[in-house]
Amino acid sequence: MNELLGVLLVSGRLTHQESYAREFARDPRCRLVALTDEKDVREERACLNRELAEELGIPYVPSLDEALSRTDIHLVSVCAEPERRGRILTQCARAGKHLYIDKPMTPSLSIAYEIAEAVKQNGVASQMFSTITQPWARQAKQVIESGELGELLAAHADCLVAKGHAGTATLGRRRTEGPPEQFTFVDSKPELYDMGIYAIAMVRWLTGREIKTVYAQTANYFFEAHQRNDVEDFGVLAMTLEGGLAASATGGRIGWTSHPSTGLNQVHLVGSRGSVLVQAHGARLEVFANEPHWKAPEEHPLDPMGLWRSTQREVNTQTKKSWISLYDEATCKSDQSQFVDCILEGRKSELTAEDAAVLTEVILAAYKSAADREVVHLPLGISPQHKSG
Amino acid sequence: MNYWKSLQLAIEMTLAAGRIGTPVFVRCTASVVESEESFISLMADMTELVSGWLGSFPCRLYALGGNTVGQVTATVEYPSGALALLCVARTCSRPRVDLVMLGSNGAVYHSQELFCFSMKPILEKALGTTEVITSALNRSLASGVPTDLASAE
Repeated sequence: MNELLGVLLVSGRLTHQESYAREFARDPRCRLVALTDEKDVREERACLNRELAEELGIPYVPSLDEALSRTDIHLVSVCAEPERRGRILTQCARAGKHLYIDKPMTPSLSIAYEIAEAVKQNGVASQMFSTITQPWARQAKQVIESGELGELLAAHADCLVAKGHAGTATLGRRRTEGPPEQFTFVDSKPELYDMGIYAIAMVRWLTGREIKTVYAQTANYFFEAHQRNDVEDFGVLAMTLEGGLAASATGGRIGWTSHPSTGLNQVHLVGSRGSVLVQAHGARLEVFANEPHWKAPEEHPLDPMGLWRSTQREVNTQTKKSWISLYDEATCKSDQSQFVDCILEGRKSELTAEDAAVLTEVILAAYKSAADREVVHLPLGISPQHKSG
Repeated sequence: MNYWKSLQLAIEMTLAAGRIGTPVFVRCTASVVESEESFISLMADMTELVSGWLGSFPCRLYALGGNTVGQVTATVEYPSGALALLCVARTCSRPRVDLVMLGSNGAVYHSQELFCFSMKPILEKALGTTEVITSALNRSLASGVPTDLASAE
């Protein structure tokens, strides 16, 4: 393909599209064509969409149906809210467009597999955003493949983001879980769903094995907002994988001042001959200087948890400076560009829509486990109680 | 010099100063050069130690692996809602410990390769509750399901 890949963006400001769009724009093989959304989307969302379109200098097309009919669009980056994302992805796949998928793909098991089937039937490429394409993850994979650990016995992954003003949750009692019915709030997210996906995806990708059992717990440790919205700010899974491999994963939001950098992102691999801890920030400089200490930003009324780039810019959130990672966006190929590689080279990505559907199933199993306080076996199977949205 | 005793004192001092708020979660992975018979014993000791930091006796635990597998991983639950994820595994190289403790408003991180410290015992003296934990670990490993622990009191 000699022409540029035309990229359509679905949903704009106050979504991860703020970052994804910029990475696609940075790739010289891509051209941002337009930003769009479902034509009956609520006005507040449409307004946010128009704002990002204007910032990026691209037209806003109010109708997704109309945008998908364009022949100069090859790839769609979908960042609509979880409650709507699934049906939009299915529509885009059926329109013959490659899918770049915000994470997690969807909270609905039936819709997850519908998307995977639409991708397969229409022969399009797909990739869900994750951390498996980052250099530290590649290093962990290389360690496993080198054999130096011997037989892999266990894999333990953590993804805990250091954002939000912690210390406001009421402690002292175990959380009673019922799977979340709402995933979109101004001031919180269900963090097992939103952050745990990274750690679970990492374990599955690194080991190359399917998850067979899950025993999970959710908790409210840090934020009053999560408690008020009845969603967890922290989650833990203990898993068994094919072949009896033991694994665990944590996902959560732990507060601005609970990590020297952006958060704890790591995997501990245990083998018969040794173990290794690989961390996202492992390759770093540590700088100590006579300069003002980093301070947590003021809360933005539209984004108290520091989710979005634009709002954090508005409250002048400063980058923490004591850890300088050797790998950053200037030196490493982005997840988005690696997906472009897959499209142009005609190969499957390493986290397709089908993989994302499996991860949805694991997360739903985790919520069921946390609610029932039992070990849950996988696969769950597609059944009416899993349909939503 | 006992490594675990030193670690225990440092953690307790940090908690007593209130620097991280209320401790709510501990992840501790210990890679040890030990005979396979002692993994469960070490796990029980580690659970006892961590329980002291989290402020209560555990009410439930779920264990994976076993002495002959080369590692034991345990999820430990507390009446307050606090949690611990613990792993004891064999290594052929230097022993090491990796620890994450989350507080309600802060965190403690510790990673240490062990050169001159002794890895055993984790606890200076055996406590009656360690036997209860050991028994629960064995039951969970044998059954493949979580095991409730009766109060130690």
